[in-house]
Amino acid sequence: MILTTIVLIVLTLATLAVGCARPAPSPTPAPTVTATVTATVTATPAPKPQTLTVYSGRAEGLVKPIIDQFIKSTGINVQVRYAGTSELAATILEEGKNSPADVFFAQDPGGIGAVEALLARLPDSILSQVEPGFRPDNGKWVGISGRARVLAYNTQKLKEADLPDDIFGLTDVKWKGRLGWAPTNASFQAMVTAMRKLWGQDKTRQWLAGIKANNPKDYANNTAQVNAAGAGEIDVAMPNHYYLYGIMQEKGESFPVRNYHPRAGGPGAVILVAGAGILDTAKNKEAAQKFLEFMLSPVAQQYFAGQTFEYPVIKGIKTHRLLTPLADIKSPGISMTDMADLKGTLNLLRETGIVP
Amino acid sequence: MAIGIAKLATARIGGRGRAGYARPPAALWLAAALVAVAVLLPLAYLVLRASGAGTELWGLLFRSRTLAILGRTVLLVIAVTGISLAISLPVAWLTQRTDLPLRRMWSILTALPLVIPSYVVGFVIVAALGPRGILQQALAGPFGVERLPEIYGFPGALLAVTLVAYPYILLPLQSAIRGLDPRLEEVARSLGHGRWDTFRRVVLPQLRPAMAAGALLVALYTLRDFGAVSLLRYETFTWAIYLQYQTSFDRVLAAGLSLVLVVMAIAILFLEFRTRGKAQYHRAAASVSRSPSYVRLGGWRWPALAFCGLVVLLALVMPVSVLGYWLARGFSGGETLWLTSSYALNSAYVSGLAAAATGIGAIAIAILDVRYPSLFSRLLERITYIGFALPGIVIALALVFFGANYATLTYQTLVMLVFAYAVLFLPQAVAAIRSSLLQVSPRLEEAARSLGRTPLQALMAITLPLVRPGILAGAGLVFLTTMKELPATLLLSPIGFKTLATSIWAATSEGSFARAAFPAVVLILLSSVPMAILTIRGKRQSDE
Amino acid sequence: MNNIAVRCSDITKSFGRTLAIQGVSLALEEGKFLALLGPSGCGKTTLLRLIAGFEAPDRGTIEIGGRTVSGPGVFVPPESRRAGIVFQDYALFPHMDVNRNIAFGLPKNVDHRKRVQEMLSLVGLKGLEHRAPHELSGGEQQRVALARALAPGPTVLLLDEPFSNLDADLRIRIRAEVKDILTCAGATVVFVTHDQQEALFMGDLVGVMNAGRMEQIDTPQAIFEKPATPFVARFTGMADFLAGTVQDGLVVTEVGSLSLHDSIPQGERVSLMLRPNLVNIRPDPTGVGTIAERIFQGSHYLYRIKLPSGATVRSLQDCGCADYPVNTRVSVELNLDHNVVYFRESRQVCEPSDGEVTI
Repeated sequence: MILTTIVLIVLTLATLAVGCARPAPSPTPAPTVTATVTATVTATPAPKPQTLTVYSGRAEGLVKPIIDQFIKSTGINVQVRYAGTSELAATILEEGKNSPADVFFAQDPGGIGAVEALLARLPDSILSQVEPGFRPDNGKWVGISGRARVLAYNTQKLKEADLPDDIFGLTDVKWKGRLGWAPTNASFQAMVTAMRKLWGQDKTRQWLAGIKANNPKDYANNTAQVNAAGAGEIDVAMPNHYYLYGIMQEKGESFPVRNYHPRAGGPGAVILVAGAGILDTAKNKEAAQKFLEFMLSPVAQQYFAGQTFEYPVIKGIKTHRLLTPLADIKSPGISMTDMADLKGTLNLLRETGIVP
Repeated sequence: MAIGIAKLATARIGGRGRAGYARPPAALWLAAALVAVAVLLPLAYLVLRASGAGTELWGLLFRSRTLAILGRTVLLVIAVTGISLAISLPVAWLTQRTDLPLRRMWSILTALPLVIPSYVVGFVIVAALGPRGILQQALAGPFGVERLPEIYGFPGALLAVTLVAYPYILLPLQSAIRGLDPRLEEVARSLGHGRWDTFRRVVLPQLRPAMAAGALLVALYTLRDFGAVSLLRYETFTWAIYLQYQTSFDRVLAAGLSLVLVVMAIAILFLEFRTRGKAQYHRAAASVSRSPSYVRLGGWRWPALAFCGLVVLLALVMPVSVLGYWLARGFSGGETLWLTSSYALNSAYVSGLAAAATGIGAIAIAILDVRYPSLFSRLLERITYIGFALPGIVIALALVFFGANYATLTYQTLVMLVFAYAVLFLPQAVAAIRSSLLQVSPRLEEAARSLGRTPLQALMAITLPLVRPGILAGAGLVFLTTMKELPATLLLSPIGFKTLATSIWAATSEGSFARAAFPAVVLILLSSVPMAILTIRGKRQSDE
Repeated sequence: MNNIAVRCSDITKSFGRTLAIQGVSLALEEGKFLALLGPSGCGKTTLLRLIAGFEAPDRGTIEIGGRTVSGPGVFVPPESRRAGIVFQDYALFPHMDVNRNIAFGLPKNVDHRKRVQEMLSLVGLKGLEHRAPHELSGGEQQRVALARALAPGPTVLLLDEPFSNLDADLRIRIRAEVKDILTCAGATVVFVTHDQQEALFMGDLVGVMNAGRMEQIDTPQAIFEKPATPFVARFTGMADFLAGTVQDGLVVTEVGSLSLHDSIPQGERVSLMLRPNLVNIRPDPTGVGTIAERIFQGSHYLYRIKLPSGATVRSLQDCGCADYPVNTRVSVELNLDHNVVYFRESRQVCEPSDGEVTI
């Protein structure tokens, strides 16, 4: 109680300070300032039910066009907060019951898994549209698009045939000094989770130790990894498949990197999803469901396949011409529930000294 | 001689205690106390979160790995601070007190790197100096250079953080050198000390408070920097904290690590406090200030120019030209430039609000600390620095927690965002205003009091106009750093509120440097204007 | 009897453990000048700041113009005390010109232009109203500070070491000017100085302070001629002390005996205060003293005479008729026309005990 009072007083003062500081009635405020007012209004339990609030860990450049299309076709207004998936997950956890968010659209399963406790179970009408491999058993969220783990290799230094059948082959000493990875990246960690399920704890530990012994270069993110492979800084990177196509759009198809899906399958060829869920505390549940339904509609799925180079999660959608068809990837069937055990993965990564 | 006096005050009867002059006006206390609460909110949040952990926390904190991170962080803090001093002292001296050609230009150019976000510098250094980077490509053709020295890790992090942080020392040092009383040097020379001896024994000790204040900001900034260290892959505490959020969504361990960071910050604060000393630096109010004699460099002019040139080349020319290169490549690649003018307007608008709000809070803190010294006011001034030492994500999440649950009306509004900026950047303004206030004799306020002004009126009529340079400098710094700020802006801004910084982030998170380059260039250009004005103003003030 | 402009009763003030002012009392009539004289650190500036209201006393009351401004349960803030102050460094507002500095303390219902002009002509600075403080000389700055403090018509004007920033020549001229200005303005003045000449010249009353206590407060003449304590004697001018013993109503010293008016017990030891102008010497081969030093002071010689006990006394002699070399033996006489001050050693030194002696 005291805390509440103090916070209120502080903020009131801050409001006053801001109010004073504001230059007298500005005739033409920046357009986004008007948006401020909207945000304030929606934060209070006021009417205006048809404005959906989405927290998006997916980049604005990727999802804005399709969200705009949703607004156009449904007339439901959408406001989106764009930030990193993990930052948004932490934000939702801190906000707790008072979260203004209706929908959380995450970049990776780990991010949305972290807030599962705060999500509502989705109706079967939505769940049933998605192929079972792309949603967790508890029905708290659904995959919206799929991404494949790949080995991205420099075509000037290697041919596809030089690469091992299985990702475990990278522990061979001949790869010493030629590998790059982004061990703090959520997709990488999801792959390690898949390893633990498919290989067991010991073999996963062995793999981690083997790669570590090969002195891989650490990268902060996947783009950096793939660029480094293109620059010849490393021979092989371990990213998701679509980063390559994004870079090729900017630098042209001559960019000397290609993706390789391990031909023997295994965790190195796992398909991950970017998922979305509805918060239990959402004030616009109906609109939120419409939003998810729209994202799973053929229009949206076609958009993800064509524009963001991702794999669709519903049947009957064609993938991009540059992409290996989903059917040709020997992806291990692994349930999303199994993928949720991020904690065990992190403990393993910490134990082996790969992340702090 | 009789003249009507309007105010015939009645005696104020205070039942308990004595209402002495030494007690600050209530408004000041209130403002300062609120600021204190604001600054302590993140700390309260961290304690709350960390206390949620059981013994697991201690296990994680006391791993040898944590010690290694601690060691690396301390090493980086010491190295960045040391090198920043080594850059700033000669540059400040050369540009203020010698006949260096184009002195004024150098003094602006060397301060400008402050406006470049550290994540931009990080990207740029990787692109320019990394393996297969621009430099290596340039050297590969004519010289066949296949490999450059490794930039990732300590060397790269040191370079990147130093390049963005050294202006924190340079700026106060420049103004301290301008404020030096040349008579003291003349006395020293007349007592038979040579130029170097005079510098060492008379000038340097006088500059110590400015150096210490600047070094404090550099050290704390190094603790909290995320962009540069993560891009250059040097694992500091802040990076480790981010990783807890990013990889494990482990708020408890993140809070534990953050508290370790707080302890480190307190240790640094204590160190600086001890070097601050008790000296008072009031200059006689109306004393005729003389311009100092400029040292003739003679043949030393060339090495001096080369030194300033190298600093500007690395800290300013390199980032700006790499950005220009990306921009040009994006243009030629037919990239649509992803920026609306509202982003720039929003950046400037919210940074302006942050500068004003933070300035007001900082004035209260600085006045309390300088004019009403007590254990409490000292402590208050010190704790404002804690927010500056914590990673932006920690402050942002703390305010998400308090805002969403206890201040819903302001949550995700500009009020909350500006509040977050104030918590993050308060000490920059406090430091600038404080040092400006130390130069104003308290006799001036007393004279105003004896002429019938209340403490608050005296503050408005006398103190504030005289501290204006400090207020402008402090608020200016807050403006510049707010322009660059990212984590709090992403999480706490009104939904849909986009700034230059967020659009740089959006572009780089999609891996597009070309699209990031444009808002980055606009941000740098937009920030350079107030920065240049600040530098020129400061100079003119002292020339008057 | 005029009204009392400033009255301090039993003021005590300490800072932490340091006792700055101990039980000081004073009363100053309207239109009079009080000089607070004492060495640095004696508490005189603190007393001034207590009157101005920049500090609050721990004990005692202060009245200005008959109104209690500091006392038990009462504290009038400085802005409501009608006490003008001129600081040692003048504290002119550097961001205001002369005109705005002087008008700063004027109430709204006063014609500022007229009043500023009046003040400028009072201090003789007409035509300088648009100068900035740093464009003025030290003397001009001081007069602006005076004009600024006088403009609102304060009940009392407080001056803190007003002349110490001026060089010696200027100082003597300016202090005469300032005295004229203040007299002309009819101001009641309390000023602080460590220069006894200044105090004796300017003050209608002089208060001598030492270690937080008021040693004596009296007219300049009384302070000089009848100092209450050895400290006052020494601080207000050259003074030597000669030991003596009371025997049969006489004070017996090594230069002779003097008769007493007061009755002092037999055998009591006293010390006599001797100003150099009260001590006469004559060359005399059988005399008790020897000239130890001779200091030329223009119209006078100041001799230091060594006595058999090892004590020294100083004597002021006209140049023309008394030019004796060092080591001359002399006889010492005390000038009988003046009253001689003595202090009884059995009492506390600081407790005044003046009496008169004649031969």
